[in-house]
Amino acid sequence: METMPTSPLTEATLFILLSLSPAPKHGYAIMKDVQVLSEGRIIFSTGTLYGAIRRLLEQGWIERVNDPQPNTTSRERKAYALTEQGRRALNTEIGRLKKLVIVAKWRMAEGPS
Amino acid sequence: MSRLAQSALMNRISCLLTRLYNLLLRSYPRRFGIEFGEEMQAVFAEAVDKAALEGSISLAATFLRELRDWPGSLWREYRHALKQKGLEDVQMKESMQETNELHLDVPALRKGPAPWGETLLAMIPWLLQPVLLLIGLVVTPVFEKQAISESVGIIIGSILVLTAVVGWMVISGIGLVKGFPRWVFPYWSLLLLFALYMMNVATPGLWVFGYTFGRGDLWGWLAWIPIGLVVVVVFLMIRTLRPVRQLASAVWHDWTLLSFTFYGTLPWVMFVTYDEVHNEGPIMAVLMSLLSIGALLYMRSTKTWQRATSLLGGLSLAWVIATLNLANYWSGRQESWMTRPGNWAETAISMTIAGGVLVIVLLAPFVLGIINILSRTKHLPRAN
Repeated sequence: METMPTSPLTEATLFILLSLSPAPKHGYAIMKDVQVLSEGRIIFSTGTLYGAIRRLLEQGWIERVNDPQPNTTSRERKAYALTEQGRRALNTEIGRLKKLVIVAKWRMAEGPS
Repeated sequence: MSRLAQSALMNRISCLLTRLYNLLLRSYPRRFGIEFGEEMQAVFAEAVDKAALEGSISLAATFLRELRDWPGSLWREYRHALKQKGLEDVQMKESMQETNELHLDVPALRKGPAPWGETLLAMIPWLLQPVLLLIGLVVTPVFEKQAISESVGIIIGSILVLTAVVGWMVISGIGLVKGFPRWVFPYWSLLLLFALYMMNVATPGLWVFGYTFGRGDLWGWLAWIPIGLVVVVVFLMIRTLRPVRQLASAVWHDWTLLSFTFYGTLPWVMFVTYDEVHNEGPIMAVLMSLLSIGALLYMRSTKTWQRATSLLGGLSLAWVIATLNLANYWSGRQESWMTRPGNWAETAISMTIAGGVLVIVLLAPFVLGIINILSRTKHLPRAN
């Protein structure tokens, strides 16, 4: 079942989708990538991260795949990848944010009345 | 501290934090734990390893971040798990046959005797007084020897009472979430009775969120706040009226549940009956124990007549003993508020009448059972 966002995505969801957009990643890599993308502003705890992953899996926006990264740890890793549905949801949200930026720039250019 | 010692210390701290984290993980809903538990452990372990290289502050921050987000995550996951369960219950019911498998959907109607854990839980409302009596026997000498000052004793006592009240609310809430299983009916009857009673009790003088209860004000509608809180919190969590439907279905199919609800008020009835009686502790403990045996037999019974007999037997035996005890106690006794000395026969007669009323109230829900049977026979095909 395809579920497109009817309301803005939360920051956590947006950053997870962004993190997965170039390539699949496992949980820890998502965590570190989001920290970099948000310039240190968002640092996930495992509870928050996996709560978001559970929701995205249920919505069909991400799926589990084999971990493409070489595993240097002794622990088993599961990776996640963006689905077509997830990519469309991400594109929809980016389109919304772009429009918002355009409107904001236009209004700011008018200056104070 | 040498680098080696520092590294060893960091390793020990990392191990400890990982163990603490594993404890936190266990608090998540079962399904969530099965699906993501191992991954979360692995991710946390990796985060801790990297943080240990950066130093103790980074290590502490990693764990504190988990602790900070843990209550919110727990709330979200339990809310989701309860919602999922609610959906699954609805789907299960839609695919079920109405009468044969109804017990699967309504906890109170499940076939077979109740598990021993639930049976013990159901007995607590009656076993509480004997347990408190035993605690009193231990604690009273400590106060008499003034080992604890009065103010400390008041604080300890208040904390214990608050714990008991909150504990009662939590247990009642759990029963509501679980769709009114058999064991929770006496808890709700006591909770409702307590609220009714407290409406006409004066407050000792409280200051709550800027509102001052003057000394002598009655609690009034405020006495219903604890029950209201339980109901609101539960329905915010589960977001379905399924427990209400389960309650209605349970009571419709098993009238003895209403009798069991009334049976739950008997501790209060006994306390009122033994008002103005001195040193009533031991006999009350005996009566409560007898009533709790009635509850035990009720929970372990499988047929309607067995359940009704258990409750009737418990009430009858306890009431007969109470009648004999009180008739004996008041015989020839005169308190300052009495116009004449007590009389054995008068006490026995009034107790017998009261007992008769209690039996009638206990068995009155049988009428519902008759209505249920009649409604089912009405739909049976007539023989030609």
